[in-house]
Amino acid sequence: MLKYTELVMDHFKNPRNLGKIDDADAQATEGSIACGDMMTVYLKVEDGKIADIKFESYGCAANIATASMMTEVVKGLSIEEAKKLSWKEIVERLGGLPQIKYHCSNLAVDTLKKAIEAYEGKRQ
Amino acid sequence: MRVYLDHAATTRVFPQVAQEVYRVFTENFGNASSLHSHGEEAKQIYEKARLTIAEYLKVQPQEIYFTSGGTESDNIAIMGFLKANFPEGGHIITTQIEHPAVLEVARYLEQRGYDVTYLKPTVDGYVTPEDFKRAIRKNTVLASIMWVNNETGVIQPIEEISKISKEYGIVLHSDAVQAVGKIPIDGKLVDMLSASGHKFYAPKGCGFLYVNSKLKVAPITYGGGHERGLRSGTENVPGAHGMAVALKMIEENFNEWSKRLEKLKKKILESLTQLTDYHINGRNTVSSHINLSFKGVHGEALATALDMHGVSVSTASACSSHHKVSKSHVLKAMDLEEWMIDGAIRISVGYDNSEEEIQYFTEILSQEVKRLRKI
Repeated sequence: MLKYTELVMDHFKNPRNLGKIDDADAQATEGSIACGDMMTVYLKVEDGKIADIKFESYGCAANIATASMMTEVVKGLSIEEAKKLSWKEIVERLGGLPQIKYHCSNLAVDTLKKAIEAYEGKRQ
Repeated sequence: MRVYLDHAATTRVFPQVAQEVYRVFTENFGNASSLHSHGEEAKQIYEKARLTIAEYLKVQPQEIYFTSGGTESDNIAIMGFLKANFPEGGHIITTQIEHPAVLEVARYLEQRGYDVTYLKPTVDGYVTPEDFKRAIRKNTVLASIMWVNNETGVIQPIEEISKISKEYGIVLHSDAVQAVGKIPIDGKLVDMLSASGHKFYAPKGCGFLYVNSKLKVAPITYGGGHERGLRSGTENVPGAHGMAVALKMIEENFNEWSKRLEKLKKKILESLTQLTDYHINGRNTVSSHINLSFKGVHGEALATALDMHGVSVSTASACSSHHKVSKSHVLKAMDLEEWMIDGAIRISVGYDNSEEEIQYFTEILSQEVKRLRKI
């Protein structure tokens, strides 16, 4: 079994911001066809800030933990700040990830960015 | 509670076997090839082990060769047979669901000019005798068909394949690593058979190869000419002894132990009925194995979640990167649906699991499947 940090396991055991937002302002689903992982991110935006964010996922422990950490980090940030989030920051916040699981943090950030794009697309 | 349910990966050495092996390590430590009394003592233990293993397989002791395990046995059987008899090439039949110890040898042989047919299994995980028969060509010289699949536990139709092989004069090898110690084996059904000690409660690093005495097999490594020239290297007397003691224990207790194992498996299967949308991968399996998938739950996530509660199972499909993903070649060959392949976990119970352990496992399994489905 892969060695995960305590914080990763904590997010896997008790994922933050889990679920759906029924009246979301935007949402996006991204997946990796190759590894079978899927993630959906729901956004609620108020005054240019991420007022609420929730996620659903189908994937390994790292996938769930990175999604959970991503939501925790960006909640309350402005859209512009959230756009700057990098996968490295997620990995660092989690106290590290096995290298072969870095792509999971990528998926979390990609799905967030797709949701922001969807939000911005709607506004135009 | 810590529960070990990965006996297909490796087993805990039986305490009695460990004691016996320890005794040989410390008391009968002589080199079995030495002429003095220390060597002679070791030699006797070694040859007695060969006899016990031969009896277990219903073959002759001179047909048993000790090796370092399954991989080496498979390599000697396939490469050694071809080297001695068909060095110029020929056609080989194997399956898509073999262990890498056979698959990788077959791929190497393809590069060296041999033709290989990889039989596709049915959706239930076994190759059919009909497909085997259809694959036979004029220049088919060898078949290597595993006895029991390591991931699914599906028993392959060796008896029927044996009949066809004999009819067509094709030499048949079987990787029986997951069969020895789990189901009764008639070695005479095949011409060569591989086994590994640590899969049946003996130490790691020891195994054996049965070779029909009529067969000519050439060594693939060179040295002092041990094991009648087929496998050089100082005799692993403690390992051989450990395998013999373990097999003897299994043989003597087989009825009782296999019934108990069946019962534990039934208990797990019954506990599943309170969950929905799951699939058992493979049919006609040995009583130790359950390969199963839950819809909406990634196998790797479930295995990690179970590990969190001290339960060890294995998963064949792991997402290791976007581009290079390792999915079970066995489940893929069975043409299972994506969720079954991504969701698969392998539970393999052993003779040393208790009912309490299985009870704990079923509770944790149900709890974690329900939890992960909400994510």
